[in-house]
Amino acid sequence: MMSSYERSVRRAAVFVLTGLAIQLGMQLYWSPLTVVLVAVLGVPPVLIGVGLCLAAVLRYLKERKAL
Amino acid sequence: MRELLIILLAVAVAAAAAIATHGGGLTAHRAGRLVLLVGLCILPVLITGTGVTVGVHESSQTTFCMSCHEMEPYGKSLFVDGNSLPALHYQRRLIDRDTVCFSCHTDYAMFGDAKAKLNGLRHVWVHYTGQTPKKIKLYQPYPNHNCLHCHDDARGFVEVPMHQEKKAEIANGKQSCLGCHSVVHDMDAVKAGNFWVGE
Repeated sequence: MMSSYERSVRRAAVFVLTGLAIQLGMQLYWSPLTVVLVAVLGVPPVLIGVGLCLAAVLRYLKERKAL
Repeated sequence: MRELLIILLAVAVAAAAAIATHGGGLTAHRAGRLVLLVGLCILPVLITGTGVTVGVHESSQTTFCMSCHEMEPYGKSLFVDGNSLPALHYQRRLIDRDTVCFSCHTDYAMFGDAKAKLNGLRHVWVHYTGQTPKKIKLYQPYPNHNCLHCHDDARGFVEVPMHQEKKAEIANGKQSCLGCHSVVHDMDAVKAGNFWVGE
């Protein structure tokens, strides 16, 4: 059974993966439109994923009184 | 630079995919948390930051501006034979040819670059939605301080008697540089095919 931390980390990884995959795809086809799409669609999921990951790790450490 | 970024992005995508499929339990170990920190935080943020920086840099390149067909005649106007300002600057190598559009069409102020990039977003929107106006105009009268950023203390500028006479008016913008140097992008010469042919 997956713990809530594991779920959070996986969710964060999916966000980061989506953002990076969009950025990778856009880098392969470079045009004015893709520059805008990287900024609008590629960057936010990465930032959300990073935030979720940090929150999950901090929650885990706090619960274990390791902070 | 872009090739390196693509390789790093591919590595980061693989790392994120591995964590998404197998990495749920990594929070339980110190080493696992370190892997999470690098794979899901440091690496993606660094690569995304690099990607945005590369994007901003590339969007200042002449080739980038010329990739939209609306800019084609303006690009051609750099090669016309005559005294139009962009052609003189380009042909005499007064500005870096790689960033020739951006050099003149950005404000040299604190948020000048940011403003130019935001306007660029608008241009992309207008281009892809087919709302390009028939006659392309500047958003505001061309500011003198963009010219003075380079010419202010240049000998060629300072030694012209008219510039000395009108120094105050030019500095405070009451006398526009384009009032006298009125031929900017010479579209008539472009239409006539009157181009300078270098040897």
